[in-house]
Amino acid sequence: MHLSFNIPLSTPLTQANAAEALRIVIVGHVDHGKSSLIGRLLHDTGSLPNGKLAAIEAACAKRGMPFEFAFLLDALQAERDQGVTIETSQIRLRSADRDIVIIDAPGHREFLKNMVTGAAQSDAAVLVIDAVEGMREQSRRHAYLLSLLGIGQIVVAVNKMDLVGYDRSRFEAVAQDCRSYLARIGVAHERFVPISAR
Amino acid sequence: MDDTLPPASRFAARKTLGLKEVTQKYGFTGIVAGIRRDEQPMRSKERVFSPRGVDGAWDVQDQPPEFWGQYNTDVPPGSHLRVHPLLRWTELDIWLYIRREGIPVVPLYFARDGKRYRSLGEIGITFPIESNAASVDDIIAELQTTRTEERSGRAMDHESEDAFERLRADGYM
Repeated sequence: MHLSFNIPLSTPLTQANAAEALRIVIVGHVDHGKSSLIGRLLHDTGSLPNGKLAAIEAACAKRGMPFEFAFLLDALQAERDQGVTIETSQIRLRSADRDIVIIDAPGHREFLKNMVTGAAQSDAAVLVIDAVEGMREQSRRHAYLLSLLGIGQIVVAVNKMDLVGYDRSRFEAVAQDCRSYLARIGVAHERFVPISAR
Repeated sequence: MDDTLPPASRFAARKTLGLKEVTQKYGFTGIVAGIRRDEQPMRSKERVFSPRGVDGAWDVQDQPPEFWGQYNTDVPPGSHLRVHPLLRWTELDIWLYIRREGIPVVPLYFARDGKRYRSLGEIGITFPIESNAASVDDIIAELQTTRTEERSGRAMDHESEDAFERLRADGYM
């Protein structure tokens, strides 16, 4: 049996006067840097609670790994041990104008149903693409699922630009490849941004 | 009970035992819980309608998909559903709601001698935080700027990296 609610069951009633939170899902192929981008965003906006960085440092040191921002959202032991996001999670950023809910989604094909669960709760999306690897299977699949879910506003973040020496032509090649795919599936409201999140 | 849990978590696990007992005794097929995603990273991975396995266990790595406001209300055979209507609310939302509706609250939340409880749990493993917030308005003002975590005074959250995950996997709220 499925139940459908007409009342805003899961929307806070108290924010009627405040701007409604904007919900953004971060999607893309496994290891293209989604969780790291979110960790970096939270850090650079001063949104991390006290002691969080130290806890991540300890978790990385325990595994003999260099510092990894992905550990912030990858709360499961299995996620940390395997270095892969399994289940979607959400974290809130506050700004003076509005609240933003960042939704992390797994990039491994095995966990597509969890990616879709995260994406179904979002208003807009960031599609992260590795500048070295370019578009991969889950890049296309995630973009297609976003369009299927009716999420028309997509920012494409071409990540790891440091690994290609910040080469503008590489960025443009990846962006063009992605643009033509998005056009084929009917996504028109897209923006392309080169980034290096780590 | 899992004897390999660290001490404060074993303390907390007693609540899970009580919950399992009462669920079986009365044959409940649904339990409504007020957990929120912003409380704790493990709770952030929850569904609004969260099916439980045998003995109330939560399989976080194999949860059903959940779309928009469509919720799967099938009760797993021999088990129950956890329903989390406040999953998307934040701690600040709760206090704004308390103020708007004039809801009475436990006085332990209000500061006395520079300390107050921000999250309430079992005696012995729950500690107050430093705060001078002595009214609902003060608490709302505090929450708008604080960088201290809501559950910083709950010992079992900080005992080991996986303590809270193990508690929740076993059926802790």
